[in-house]
Amino acid sequence: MTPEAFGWLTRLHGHLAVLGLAVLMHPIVTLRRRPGLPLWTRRTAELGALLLAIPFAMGWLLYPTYRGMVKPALWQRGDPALWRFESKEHLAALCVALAVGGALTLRFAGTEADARRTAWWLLLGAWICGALTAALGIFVAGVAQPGW
Amino acid sequence: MSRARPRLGLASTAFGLVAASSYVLQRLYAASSGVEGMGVAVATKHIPYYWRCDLALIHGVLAAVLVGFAVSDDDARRWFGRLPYAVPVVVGACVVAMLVVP
Repeated sequence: MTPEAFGWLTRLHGHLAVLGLAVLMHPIVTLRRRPGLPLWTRRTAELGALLLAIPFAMGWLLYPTYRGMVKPALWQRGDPALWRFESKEHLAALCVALAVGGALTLRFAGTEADARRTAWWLLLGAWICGALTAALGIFVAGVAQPGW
Repeated sequence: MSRARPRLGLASTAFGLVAASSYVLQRLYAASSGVEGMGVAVATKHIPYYWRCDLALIHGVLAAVLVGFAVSDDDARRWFGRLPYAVPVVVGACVVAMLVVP
């Protein structure tokens, strides 16, 4: 991957993920505050899951370059960012799995109160994982750069 | 809004929980068995992360298919009555595990 492509993709990756987290706040709030399942609650849950899945996929594209160009230097100097990055990728995987599960639960069984509560917990878990991922991502991006 | 299909809803929940748990269990197993220890996790040339994600996805889809076929709508409703207590425990354990074992 060229340095330009890596730069563009890392920024898009981060910004889309933050947008996904912002959208996912909507169903988390409205599932608690409003009765039943408003149409836009379901839609924003699905949109949020999609907006989190896309940067996750972009992360897969970035990962080989990160491993080749960034990780070796971090490893050599024993930088703590190395381990924070590992946590970040784990939490990102959990975030997407939970967001997709929660959004689909709402789609298929959202008219049932107990299913909505289950979906709420899944979406909240996804949001917490996503927020931690974002915080760790900002930290890692601040100290870990390719040597271009 | 179309008619509720609790069976498919439960299958979706199973996908999320099983995929997340599978990912965490794979990582914990790799870290504890030395297959992919703390040093190896960052030094290998192949990419275990891709394998973990792929396997977690496969496990999640398999669990969803099994639940979708094996559980009736009435049973799914009963499960949904208990799941709001179980989901935060499972998710919380997964998050803590992945923060403790990078």
